[in-house]
Amino acid sequence: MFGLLKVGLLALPRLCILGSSLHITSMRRRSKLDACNMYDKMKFEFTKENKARVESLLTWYPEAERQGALLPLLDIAQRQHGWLPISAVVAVAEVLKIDPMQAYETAKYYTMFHMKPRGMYVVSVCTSTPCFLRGSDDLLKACSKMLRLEPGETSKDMQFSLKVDCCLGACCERARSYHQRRPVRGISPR
Amino acid sequence: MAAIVRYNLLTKPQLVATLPGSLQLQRLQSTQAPPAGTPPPQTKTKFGPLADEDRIFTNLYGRHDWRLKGALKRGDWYKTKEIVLKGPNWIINEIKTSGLRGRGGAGFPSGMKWSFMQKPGDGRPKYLVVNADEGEPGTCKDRDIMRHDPHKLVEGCLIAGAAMGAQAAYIYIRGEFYNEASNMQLAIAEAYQAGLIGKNACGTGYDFDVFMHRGAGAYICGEETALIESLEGKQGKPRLKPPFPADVGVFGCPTTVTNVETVAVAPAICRRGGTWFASFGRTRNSGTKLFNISGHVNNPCTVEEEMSIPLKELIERHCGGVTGGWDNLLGVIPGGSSTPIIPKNVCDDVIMDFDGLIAAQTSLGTAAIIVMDKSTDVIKAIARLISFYKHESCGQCTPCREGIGWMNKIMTRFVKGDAQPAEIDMLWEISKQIEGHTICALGDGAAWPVQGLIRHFRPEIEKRMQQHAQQTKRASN
Repeated sequence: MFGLLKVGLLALPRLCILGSSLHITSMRRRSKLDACNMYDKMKFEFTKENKARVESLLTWYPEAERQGALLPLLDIAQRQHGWLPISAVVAVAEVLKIDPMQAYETAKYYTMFHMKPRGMYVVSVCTSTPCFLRGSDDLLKACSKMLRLEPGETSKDMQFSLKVDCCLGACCERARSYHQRRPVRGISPR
Repeated sequence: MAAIVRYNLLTKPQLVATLPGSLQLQRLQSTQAPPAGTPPPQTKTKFGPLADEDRIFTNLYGRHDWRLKGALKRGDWYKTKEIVLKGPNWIINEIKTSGLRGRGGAGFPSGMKWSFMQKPGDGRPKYLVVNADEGEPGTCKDRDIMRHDPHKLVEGCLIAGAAMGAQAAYIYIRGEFYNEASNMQLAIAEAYQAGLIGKNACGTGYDFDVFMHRGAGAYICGEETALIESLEGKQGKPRLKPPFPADVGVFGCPTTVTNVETVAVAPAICRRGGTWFASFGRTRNSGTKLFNISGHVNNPCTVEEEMSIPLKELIERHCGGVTGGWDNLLGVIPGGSSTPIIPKNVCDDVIMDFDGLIAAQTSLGTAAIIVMDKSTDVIKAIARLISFYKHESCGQCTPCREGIGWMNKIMTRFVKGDAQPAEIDMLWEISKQIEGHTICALGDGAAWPVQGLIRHFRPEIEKRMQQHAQQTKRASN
């Protein structure tokens, strides 16, 4: 398990070095964009497949209570875009016919909506007590050394983010980290 | 002197004997004919280990096929139609007989909770909401149910929904559980295709829908009213009760929020009978339960066991014992992060059920056992929990929002020992001021681990303060 992670971590930066000369200017600009000043600069529209997903999701909720679909729709928007710009929040609010500010407030409340650009691969390490007992602090240090990132940081080429998390729900499987939504578990910090 | 006897030392017949004659007769009559739905009295005195044929979750470890075909082979969806057709009263009576208590932490009797939904309706639809927002550090039982036995939950939704007369079930799953949500969604789609749910579910003429709703990473959404708010597309902040969800719940309609495990065991109870389920565990603590054992054990695992099993036997039998042997044990958090820690001398003979752990000044919670051996920095372990609660406090109630921040600051200093012994009492006072003064139980959950630490590990904290004081003294010289 660990071998796979290691190969993945080492191989990907090399790949991105090859590709980064092309993207470097656009990447830099993107990382500087803040959630506030990008409203006009970034237009957001659902893709065709996602529009179909949105339509089918809306039927799950009672007619008068469409707002219930807010969290799933924000999630679809975030998946499409990689993170959640304000323009996407506004687009979702328009679909649901609610106040954009209301949607924004909700999006800000939940930690899984990233209102700022983040790396393509998010490595999150659980450091809550059960994982702490099984050595998650060492794992976090190892990740931070390997990625050359402090917890909470994103690498300059927008490839990796390192995140500290509280309980990812695999307490019986030793320290756990998430790597692009695929859980990697039972790893040791060697 | 002999007359001064504490009432709790007397046995029940002795208590009855002290009552006047007319009352005695009433009591005797009431004991002769217990109301319907009373669990039968427990005659066993030794509990656990659970026999393999009594296990409800037969695919907990994912060794078999979790799809519909495999689930049918393991006995899911067997005679579900007959159970639904027996009617709500029969199902609720069976659940009451089983003595099932909610598996989400508070341990409220499920039969009673479900019967609150039986009031005559006023035209509003009713909803069942399944709480799969399992975010408590140490707890991972619902996750194993949802990824390896999703059909148990779907079938449970139908039976619980039929008992309440609900129109639809929403399964609120936490956002981090992406793969589990995918498995659930596939299982729901399979059940729809096979005609087990949806219009005319199982051919009973009863229409029932099951929907998935993914959360977005807020621990507080595991609280029932916060979960309802979140399901409505708002910020997940707990509501004031009353009105209780059984009156005004999700989308303003009567709602019952139950834990995944509670719902998933309902079909097995209905098939095998409430008395079968009540034959496990002590009276008022009946049934089987999923225990998660994590931390310093040789083989951390999730295991289904009988209630009222001694903690020592549970750890030795299923986890290969504590690392370095039982004598190397420092303490155990017996019910997920929000329950107080108990030291080794209590662990030696504590019984794992609701009443047994309350007697040990802690609580069963979600039965997530976090084991710590003697190498653990127990103050740091508790400080981690407090920083988690500080992060997850929703900020509505001042005692919780401010108090947990203060506790976190004090605990961070305690880890280094950079504090005065008098501050331990201050910390105790803060935790007592938070407990019970908030809308939801998150404040209590944050206060209890600290109280447990101070109750059992005060010498440890004081020792560290002394060490730190000596070090600073040496450094200044």
